[in-house]
Amino acid sequence: MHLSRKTKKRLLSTVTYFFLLIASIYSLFPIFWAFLTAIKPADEVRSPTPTLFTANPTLENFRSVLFETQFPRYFLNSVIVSVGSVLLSIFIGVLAAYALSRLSKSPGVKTLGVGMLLAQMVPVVLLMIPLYRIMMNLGLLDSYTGLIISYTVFAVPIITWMLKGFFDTIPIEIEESAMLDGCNKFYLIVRIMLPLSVPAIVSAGIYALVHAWSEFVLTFTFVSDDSMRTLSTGVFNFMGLWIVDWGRLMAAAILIIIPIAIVFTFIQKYLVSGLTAGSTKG
Amino acid sequence: MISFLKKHTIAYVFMLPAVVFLILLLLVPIINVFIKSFYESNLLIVGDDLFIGLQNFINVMQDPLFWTNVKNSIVYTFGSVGGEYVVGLGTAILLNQNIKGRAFFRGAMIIPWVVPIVVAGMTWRWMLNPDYGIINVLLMNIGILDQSINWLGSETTAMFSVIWVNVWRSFPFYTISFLAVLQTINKNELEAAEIDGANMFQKFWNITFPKLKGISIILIVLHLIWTFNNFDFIWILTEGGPLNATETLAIATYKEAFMKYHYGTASAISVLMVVILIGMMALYFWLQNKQEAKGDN
Amino acid sequence: MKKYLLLLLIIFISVGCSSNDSSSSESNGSSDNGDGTTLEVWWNVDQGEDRSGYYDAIEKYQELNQEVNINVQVLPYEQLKQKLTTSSANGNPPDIAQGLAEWMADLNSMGTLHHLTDFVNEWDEKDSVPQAVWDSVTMNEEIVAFPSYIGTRARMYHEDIINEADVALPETWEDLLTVGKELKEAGIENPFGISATSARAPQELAVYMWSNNLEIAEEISDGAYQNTWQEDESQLERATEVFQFYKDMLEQGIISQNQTSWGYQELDQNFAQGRVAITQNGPWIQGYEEEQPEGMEDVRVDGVPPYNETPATFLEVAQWYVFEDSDQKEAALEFLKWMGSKEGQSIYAKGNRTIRNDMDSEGEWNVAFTEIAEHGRSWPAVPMGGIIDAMTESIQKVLLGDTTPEETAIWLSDQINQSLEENNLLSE
Repeated sequence: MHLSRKTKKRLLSTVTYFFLLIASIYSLFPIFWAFLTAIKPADEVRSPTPTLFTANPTLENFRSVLFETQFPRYFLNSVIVSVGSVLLSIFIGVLAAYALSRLSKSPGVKTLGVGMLLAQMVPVVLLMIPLYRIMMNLGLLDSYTGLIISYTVFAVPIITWMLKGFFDTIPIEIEESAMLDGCNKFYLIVRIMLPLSVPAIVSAGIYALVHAWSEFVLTFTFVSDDSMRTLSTGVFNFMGLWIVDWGRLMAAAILIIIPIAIVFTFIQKYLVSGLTAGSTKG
Repeated sequence: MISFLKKHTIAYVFMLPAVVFLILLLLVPIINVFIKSFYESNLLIVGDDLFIGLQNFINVMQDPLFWTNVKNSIVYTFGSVGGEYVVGLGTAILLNQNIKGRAFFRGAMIIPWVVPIVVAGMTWRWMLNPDYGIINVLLMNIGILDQSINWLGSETTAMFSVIWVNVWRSFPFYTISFLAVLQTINKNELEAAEIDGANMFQKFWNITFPKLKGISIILIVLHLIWTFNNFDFIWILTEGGPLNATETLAIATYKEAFMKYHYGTASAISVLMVVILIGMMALYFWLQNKQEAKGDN
Repeated sequence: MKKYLLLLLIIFISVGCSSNDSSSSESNGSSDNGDGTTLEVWWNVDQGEDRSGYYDAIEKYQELNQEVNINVQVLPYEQLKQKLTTSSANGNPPDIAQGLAEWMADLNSMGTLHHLTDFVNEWDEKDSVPQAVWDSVTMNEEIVAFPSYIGTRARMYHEDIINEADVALPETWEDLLTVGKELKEAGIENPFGISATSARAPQELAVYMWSNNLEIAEEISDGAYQNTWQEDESQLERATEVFQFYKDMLEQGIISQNQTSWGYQELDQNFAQGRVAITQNGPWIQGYEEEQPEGMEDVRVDGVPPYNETPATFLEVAQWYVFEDSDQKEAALEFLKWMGSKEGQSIYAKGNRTIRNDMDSEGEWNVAFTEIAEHGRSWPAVPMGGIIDAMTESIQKVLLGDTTPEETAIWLSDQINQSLEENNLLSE
């Protein structure tokens, strides 16, 4: 069987769309189903024979999550802590990455870089008790600062290495000419490296943001006060004492996903281009 | 000394914030864990911890459950990373085609990654529920199943289901990373190969795949570590059950520390986890080097 | 520069290390707020679905005591326990927490609970609480917790289902297996309901153990315990029977396959919906009447759960803890005293849930629970953390795994003794 070039192309694109569709269903169906569950009235949610669509859609679950629970408070906390930790990890990451990329001749710098990666190897689970003690002694339990700091610690190593990869691709000549003009290193970073690295920084920032938005174990350990909980930890309040209230839980899930998904649609092109530069060198 | 300072101060100043953070909040607790692994430390027995040398390690390794945990960790880690790699690479290649609605498809595929783990776990638990879960209902309607399956609650399917959910949440990071690299590949190179008579698979194998090597190494190494140490996914989905079928070392550590209060034993398990991970990494890089050496000949 | 870094490193490490001695214990966020006391209370009661009136009780208390402000933190049981452990082991607990009976010995062994013996002895309403309840919160002759409410387990069933299938109510295991089979044949998906995971699973298992004349851990001598099943052939035989009972129920379809992963939420929900014919359950089921009026309409409660040798049931006494490291123990005790009073109990632990013996107990539900109270048993006074975990696993082993009932009984016995040994409580 010999297919003409054109038929072959058409066949290929049909197959492509087919698989894209399957992949999209795989990605989106859980969210779609969460939404369909959230708009069902209570007695339909637990039907032994669930239907895809309900005949009586209701926003009751959303109303109850938004107005009868601490959800807005958790949301605010998540935003504060996530943004705070993204900014702090970028600040620390940029400096460290610059050192790793440009100043790695100084003794110890490379070791520190490898050490950062090795630190990733220890399971967070067991660090909970010692970390709790440290946070307690620093008086940072139940505080934004405590959460921001601890998220940052776990985001910095990976951000540093992502940015280092990018800095490596920026020709050193650009800096050298600026050095000749008498600029110091800080100035160099701010005026030359940063503007060139916007895509990489955005993608590192997104990484940190996703990490922070999702963080559960640390927040759970450090926060006891309900008014300080983030979305990931607060969502457990919708799992009731007597029953799991799936309708409300799914409404909360949708409300958690929507904002970060919107943020993403706007900046995803940066993410791709940011990663490109950092990773092609491998 | 002065010249040394002058030359290197700036490097250290730049590293300082990172170092301070990592020492205070990672190194100190890690050292604490290593030390505790040599002590009998039981929160239920009031009094000073007792130094018992390697006894914790011996106890842990003599427990058959530990080896089940090791096996589960390895299955979970490699199953997840393998699945993520395949799905991630596949979707990246699809998205790299010249298609209409690329922005939509790309957006659709990134979404799972932004869903917080807790939320992802709860949503899938709801879908996989044996009594009201939509997955069973759909599969039964299509006729693939004739009886509902207790996906997370039966020994044979629990691990598979947990891996499936983890792949769902994690593959988009592979997709965007691969896509970023694929977009840098020069179209002319591919066209030239096509003119030389290379088919699709040859083109992929000879031109595209080598370019993905760098990013592959980074993705695989990082995800091996993260998945091996991951706790929240399995905890939310199955808590390590049924019958320890999904109890990985990370879950075992948690249970030992927070349900039985054997802090010393839990520390010993963690130390062994680090050892296993380092072993895994060493093996990986060794294989990598060997392959490269072969390629050079 | 290097020296400076080294110095910094030493400082940080020493900061971390000094945290190990508990001398530097700080007080909790529950400080005075100027115009009164703020009591930090942790529990698992969600305001949104509070069916028992806890929040009404708190409101009332604050009304009566204007200077007291009660700050509540809600967490599901499992997380609540972990947080209590972490925070109290580090000397940073809340003032009060409500928890399960299973946790009492664990928390007490950590030395974090404030002992209440003197406080209770001085309380003039002490005698309004039955001695059995006080016994359940006593360890080594010290009262270490304050009873909150009672959740005795009783046999419950949907009358319509039973009538329709025209079967008798099962009294014993044997009855249950026969009746269950008939119900199964009548097309009932879940003739009987169990819980094979969550905190409920070991509680149910314990009831079957007790009803077959077995002890989970027997006090051999003062403060020394042992599980004696393997010492005595007849005990091992009886323990084997318990697991055989679980296995028979599953194999004969008296419990469905799905039930092997049910926790208490699934069991309660399915029972309230009328999808389970018979079960053993607690008084909280009544709370479903509002939400599932149709399913709950024909629910009846009477008698102890199906038994084998001796009628037995689980007398769950939910507990209040006051922590040694709280700096407001006085105010906390005043609060508990009120919660245990007639007024407090009548708001949040109505009818059959009350810890007191001087409250009205009319109505079918209340009478039924009062009648079985004499068969109520509670956990042995040993840390249960490792034991309940093993008990849950044993149910799964026999239902899901290919372990025989006898192997499972031996395994559980070993696990219990190992847990006792680890806590230095095993009798030699």
